[in-house]
Amino acid sequence: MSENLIQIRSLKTIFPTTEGIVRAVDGVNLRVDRSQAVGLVGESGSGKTMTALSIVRLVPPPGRIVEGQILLRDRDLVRLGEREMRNIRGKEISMIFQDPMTFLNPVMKIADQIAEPILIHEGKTGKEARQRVVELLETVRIHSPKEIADAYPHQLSGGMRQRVLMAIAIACNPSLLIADEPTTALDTTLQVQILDLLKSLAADLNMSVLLITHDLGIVADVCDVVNVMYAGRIVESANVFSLFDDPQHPYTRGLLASALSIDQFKENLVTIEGTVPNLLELPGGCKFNPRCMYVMDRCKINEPKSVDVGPRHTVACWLHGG
Amino acid sequence: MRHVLSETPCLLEVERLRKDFELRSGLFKKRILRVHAVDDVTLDVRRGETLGLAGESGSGKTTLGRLIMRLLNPTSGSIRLEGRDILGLSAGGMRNLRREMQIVFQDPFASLNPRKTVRQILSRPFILHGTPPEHVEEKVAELLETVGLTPAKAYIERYPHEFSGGQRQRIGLARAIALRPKFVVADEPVSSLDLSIRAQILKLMKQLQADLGLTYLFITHDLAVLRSMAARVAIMYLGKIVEQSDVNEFYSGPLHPYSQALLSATPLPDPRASRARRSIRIKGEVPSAFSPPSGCRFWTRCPSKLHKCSEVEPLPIGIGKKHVVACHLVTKR
Repeated sequence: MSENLIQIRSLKTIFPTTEGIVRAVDGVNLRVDRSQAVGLVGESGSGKTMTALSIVRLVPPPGRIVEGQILLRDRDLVRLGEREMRNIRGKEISMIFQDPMTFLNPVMKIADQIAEPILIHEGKTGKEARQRVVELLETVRIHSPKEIADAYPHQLSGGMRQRVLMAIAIACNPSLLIADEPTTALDTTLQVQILDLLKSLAADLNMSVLLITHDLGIVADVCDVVNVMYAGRIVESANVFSLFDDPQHPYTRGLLASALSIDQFKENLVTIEGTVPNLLELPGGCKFNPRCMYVMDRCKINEPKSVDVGPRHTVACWLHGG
Repeated sequence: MRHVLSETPCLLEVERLRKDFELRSGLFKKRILRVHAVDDVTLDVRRGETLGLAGESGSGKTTLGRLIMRLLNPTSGSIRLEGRDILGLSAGGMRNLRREMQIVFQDPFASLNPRKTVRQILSRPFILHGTPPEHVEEKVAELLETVGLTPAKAYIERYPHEFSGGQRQRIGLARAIALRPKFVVADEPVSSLDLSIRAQILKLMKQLQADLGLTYLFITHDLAVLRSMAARVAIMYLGKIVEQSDVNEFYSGPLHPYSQALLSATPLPDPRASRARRSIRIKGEVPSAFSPPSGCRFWTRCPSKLHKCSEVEPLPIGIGKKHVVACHLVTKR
């Protein structure tokens, strides 16, 4: 039995706006085991990034977590104070983002940025930290690490910046790395390099990964378990093979059927009709019901609960008894 | 130079097209850096087909699209639409050309005027091209229904910000097809759209092509999309077309090492296939276009480079009737 690292229960994160309350994360249950790569897939506004930011307690105000638990081993992160959270971020849980330039300090040398978490969390001396920085740059496969250590972010290419961000993230051997669309801004041949690196770092450092993406191909390649999000909820969760072989939720089925691949010519493109929902005007019942081709009366009235449909395969849909 | 033989007549012929951009730098802007954004590109697009143009950032694919649309002027070379040279056209000739060639951009929000209603945006082409004012409204309504925004009445008085990304791209397509063009350049038309919306727009593009007999130049970085959208593909790297092929031949047997690496790097939405495949990995990133490598531009990253690759530029050669590749490893059998 795999060891449970993080367990999220009924998480709700809201954003009060002038037009009403946006329920960005609305009752999410999610589990990441030790050394597991877990995917969180969804479209814009599905709540995947807000789920991630909730885990590290960095939901931008006025957004806030209003309900639920985020258990890291036996500690509930929702209840920790800011000082305690600071001991978790960068040490136990790290995060990398889509656009590395936004998260690197433009006037600080690479070495100092990578050394920061080491100095804060591990109390090392400057000299020890410097040595660790060079090691880390080697780990993320940067050639001539000593020169890069003394460079500034603008002197690096996009791929190198993403590697530097990874070096910062793994500096203190975190148990969980949250990667939010880490390759979306990168070219195809670079994307695969970064994904390869992510996979090998996770394996070498025995690190769990929560990968947020909209790309089913990336999920198929990297993840062990996949969670599909829609309108702030997880509508299906399964082992990657079960999810692709035997998707149960009509939304998951639609996404997989509409995905295009270099392996297959599709004469007739399959589509999911309608538009991505506006979180301020969500329908009653199942949030997917206006776009669902199997919609029934009760789908419009009651929201389905997640039920087990196989070993570690859950789906929230009235077709499966909700 | 024209290796790909065809049965279908060419609608668009691009020959030895080149575009240099100059950048002045240094004190007093004396130093001139030159980029060959599009370098000696020759290609055809046949009537009614979709030619997929793929490459990574900096490959020159967008510049090529803009040159063909005459939104940029080439440094040298020729572009012919139905045999007519379109580079030497007068202002009046250009206006007529706009009826025949249109473009759809990646970001439908940036390419639609936020202060104008859909009615104003879509009326414009009709007014400019002499549709009698009393018929314009009817034409606009018809157009909206053609792109799936039905009933037209519900949409016509709205502003771009009131639409979702997918709907805005429908408006972008409506504007492009308003004057029944023959040829449409689509520059990353679905790249900024959500997954479930992408297929809708691609399906609409296929539908419009079938109904209106459109010819597309489909520019994208996504080879998975082209597999189902294009009849032929052309792969660009640092301003050059390195491979051009019929779509089936390309996906079953890409010849250029760059094409092979690009295909191998494209994620497969299938966990078994994805984990089982043999991966070709290329190192590094696309070099600066200001100082492209000598010889073959890909040699610095090529996993199977030969000695001469850094010295001699490979010329495009035809392999069979449907395939052209520029690589020293590939020789005529």
